[in-house]
Amino acid sequence: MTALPNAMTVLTNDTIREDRRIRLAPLALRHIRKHYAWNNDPVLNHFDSETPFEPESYLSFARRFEAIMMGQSGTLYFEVQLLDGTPIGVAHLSQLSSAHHHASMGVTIGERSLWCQGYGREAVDLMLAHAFGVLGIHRVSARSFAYNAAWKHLLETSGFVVEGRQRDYLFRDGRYWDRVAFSMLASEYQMRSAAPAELRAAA
Amino acid sequence: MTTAPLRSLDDARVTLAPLNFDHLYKHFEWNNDPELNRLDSELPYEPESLNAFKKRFEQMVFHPSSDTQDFEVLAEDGTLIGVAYIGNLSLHHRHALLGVTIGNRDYWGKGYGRAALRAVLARSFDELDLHRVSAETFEFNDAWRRLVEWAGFTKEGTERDYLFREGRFWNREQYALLAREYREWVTQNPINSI
Repeated sequence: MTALPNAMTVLTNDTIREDRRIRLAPLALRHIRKHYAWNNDPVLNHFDSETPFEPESYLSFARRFEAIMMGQSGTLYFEVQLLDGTPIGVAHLSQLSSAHHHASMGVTIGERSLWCQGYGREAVDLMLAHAFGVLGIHRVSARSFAYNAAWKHLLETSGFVVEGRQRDYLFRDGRYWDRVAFSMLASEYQMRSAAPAELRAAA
Repeated sequence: MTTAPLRSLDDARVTLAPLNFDHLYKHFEWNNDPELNRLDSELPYEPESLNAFKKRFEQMVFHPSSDTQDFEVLAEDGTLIGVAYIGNLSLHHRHALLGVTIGNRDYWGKGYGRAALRAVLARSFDELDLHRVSAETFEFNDAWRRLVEWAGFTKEGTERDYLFREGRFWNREQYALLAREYREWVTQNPINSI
């Protein structure tokens, strides 16, 4: 069992993982306006945030963004970028524990014009490769609000297992919604990686 | 949070009170107890200096975070016997995560855990008007699991291999109780039936 690498050493690599169309990179301060726009997008908030939507001032966001960039949060944040460096979304590994070798994963394609084109799936694949392959994590969890059909489907078809259902977890649009808990263990990731991609896509 | 001790609504044996800084040494003792740590904390056990603990405890007592309420559990004669918390508190979603630790072993196996859990549930549902409370139990903590099952919690899931301890992985189980289930449970489990 190896210890997790220090977060900062990971983040100093300019490109963390590269795949066919996208890559994961550290958060870039020069893209802060883009992150601010996503942060204040009610549609994205609806799908990926437990916090009720509320517009945030640029100053307040910039302070939080700087704190995140300083690595004070215990979470690894990434930009999802096209290969030319254009940011299209964000991804994170949170609740990272070097004692328990677990983490929680999230991916948001912020550029909504690029939804439904497989970028989210590629980003999840890169995140899993990073978590299991580079960081040596034993267990990656993910959560989905019950109404987020796209994210649930993506997790299920990426090999995540449903572990539980938190009843009435979220209050939104005048009613309660469940939150579904998923996870993937390293052993399951190895099995998944052993199967050809075409078979996985067909499954 | 009110500063006056909260009388448990349904079990006169136990009182929930705000953390009292005068009890620093008792809390420090429990904080540095490896067996309690094993049962109720995800953090690997590591002795903490009094100075470091004092700083944390000061924060908890005088500058508590808005999403956590920490309590002392007092026995009928006022003896401090344990702690309880309502954490991850969201008044928007009306949910929270709760936990109870009876730190004083002389009070184990005598129903004080049940009484404390009852008091925390009363505070959660009757005073904070929550819709849902959850509880997490490590696979090896039979006492806590039996306690939440006794209180009518439903098992919602199992986080596989969540915890690494003593050279192996253990599951963590997720339980929750909704307000309507709590009200039903209270009518079926009046206080004198304990």
